[in-house]
Amino acid sequence: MKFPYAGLPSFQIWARAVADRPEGFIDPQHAARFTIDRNLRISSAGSCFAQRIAERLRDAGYNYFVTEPGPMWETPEELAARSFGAYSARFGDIYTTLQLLQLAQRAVGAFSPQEPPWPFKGGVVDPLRPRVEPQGFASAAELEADRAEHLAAVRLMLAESDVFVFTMGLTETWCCTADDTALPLCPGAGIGTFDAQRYAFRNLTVDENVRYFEAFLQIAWRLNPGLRVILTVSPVPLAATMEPRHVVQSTVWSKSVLRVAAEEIRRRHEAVDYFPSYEIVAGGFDGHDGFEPDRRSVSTPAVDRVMLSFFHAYAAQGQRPPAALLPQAVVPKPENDVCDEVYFERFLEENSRA
Amino acid sequence: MPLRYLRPLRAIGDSHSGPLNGLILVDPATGEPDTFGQAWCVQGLSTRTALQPDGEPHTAVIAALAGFHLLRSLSYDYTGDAVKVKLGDRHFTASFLAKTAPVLFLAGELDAREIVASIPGDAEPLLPFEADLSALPATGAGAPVPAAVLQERIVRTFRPLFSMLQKLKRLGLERIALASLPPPTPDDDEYFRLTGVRCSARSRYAVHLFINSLLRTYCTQSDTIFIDTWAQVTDDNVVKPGYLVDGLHFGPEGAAAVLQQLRTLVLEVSVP
Repeated sequence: MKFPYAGLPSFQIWARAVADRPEGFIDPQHAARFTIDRNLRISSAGSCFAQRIAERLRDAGYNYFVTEPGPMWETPEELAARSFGAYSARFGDIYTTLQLLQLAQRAVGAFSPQEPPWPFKGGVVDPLRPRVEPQGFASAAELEADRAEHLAAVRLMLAESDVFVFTMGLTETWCCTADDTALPLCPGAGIGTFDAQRYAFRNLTVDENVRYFEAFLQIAWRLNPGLRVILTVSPVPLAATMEPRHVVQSTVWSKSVLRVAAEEIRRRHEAVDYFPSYEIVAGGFDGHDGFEPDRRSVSTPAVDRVMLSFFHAYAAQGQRPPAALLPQAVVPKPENDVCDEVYFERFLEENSRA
Repeated sequence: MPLRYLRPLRAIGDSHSGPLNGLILVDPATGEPDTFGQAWCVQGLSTRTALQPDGEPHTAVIAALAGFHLLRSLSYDYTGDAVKVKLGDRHFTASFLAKTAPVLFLAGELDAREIVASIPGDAEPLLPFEADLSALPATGAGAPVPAAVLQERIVRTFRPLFSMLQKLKRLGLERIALASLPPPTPDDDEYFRLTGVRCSARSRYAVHLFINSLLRTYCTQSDTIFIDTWAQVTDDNVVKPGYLVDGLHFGPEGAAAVLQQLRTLVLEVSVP
């Protein structure tokens, strides 16, 4: 009988797939389930790292689909400061599968969180996306009107995208005890007020992540049966853990849970693929350090390697390069970082020693 | 014939406002004239010139609004809190007419040429909506321009125009209307002769359609009246024969299509 490892493709053998490769050229996505044409509408959501993917898709001339672009008369700087364009709709960072599911449920009218708006600077903020409006909304009515527009944009995104890229970020989350609404930011982190009776910590398991994401898929596919999905896991470590253990242990546990959940979802659904951005950045198998000195921020060269692998895997065969328009002005980054986890990390640095 | 007044259909814009000037529309029920186009042409008005370097609206636009009685001059020693705009050493604020009388803006065709010019000659712009351009010759086999790339370019180019209109709204002009771009000539040589831009008809038609869809989006976002004449002045998405008198500008039929929609708005208003 033939030895089962004989004839395996090179990418399955470490010596050929990793050890023999020149430094920086490891490409762990050997075959994608589908290709992406530049005509296709690509939308995305997820944790901070998803913003980097969205930027690169846009820069590469892919048809990044934005259904909530913001007022057309505002400058790019004003729009970026208000979180328009960071993702396909203005949902801010979505760290957990539960948060994503509840967003989709809200978009189709299947879930109405009970959490009231949080007071902020004389107005209010949306607890479900507390940092999208830096000055807050003037009133609850204004927030409600904006939320209705936002959810319509989410519905449109799900209904008309060809490919949806979701970056799974965290398993740890805070939820409202009343109805299990998942919050992107722990109340009390400079916004909102923490109340142990009203908010509870949860750390989502593999089963829960699979269940929540599959429920999300059911909603998305009801709206758009042809939607294909690419799952990734963010390589960005946890800013802090609520589990009584070292944050490194919690990071590895969370990312492992998400990686297993992603694999399980991919295995069950032909229209879902997994892209190994986590492996490329956090694995360090290519001999490069993927992080900045803070050991959390993903370095630009690492993002380059991720996207090189992404396009290698998903770009349609024979895809002609996109026709270039004249060079475009570089949009400066907003001064206040739009990533909730970075904000939370800074908040912790300033407040956790008290 | 007894003396009578006709209602003015006020328009401010680039050279495309010219054909609107002086055109008289009649009441279809009686055949009697009831409105006329009163167009103030700001030659070369484009999205780039819509705002001055200090962020204020184009001075000629302020002058036009004052000339149309939609702005009134404030006294030199005025110290109140009226929202003002400056023209020379005088300040103006919205007049009582500004709340009710619509004013139509026409701009963007000059900018459309630049966007058309930025597309490689054999490339086909991809549109995010269905549009049948099969009546025009197919574009070459060049790489397509993704819709998101083109959209970003259009929005960035037109943002100053939108900002100017928003400033005018804040000034107190409550019924601002914006006209769709007219279709360009389908004749490639004529378009090149008139604009200096060499491109395929299908490319420039796609760009005009895309711009018009985004003008509509802006109008929806900002509660601005959108005067969309594309369907009236085209057959199968190509300009009707004879509608462009010089290859660029509308003749009376096209101008009437624009003014007719404005007429409906103006006649709603009781102010003469």
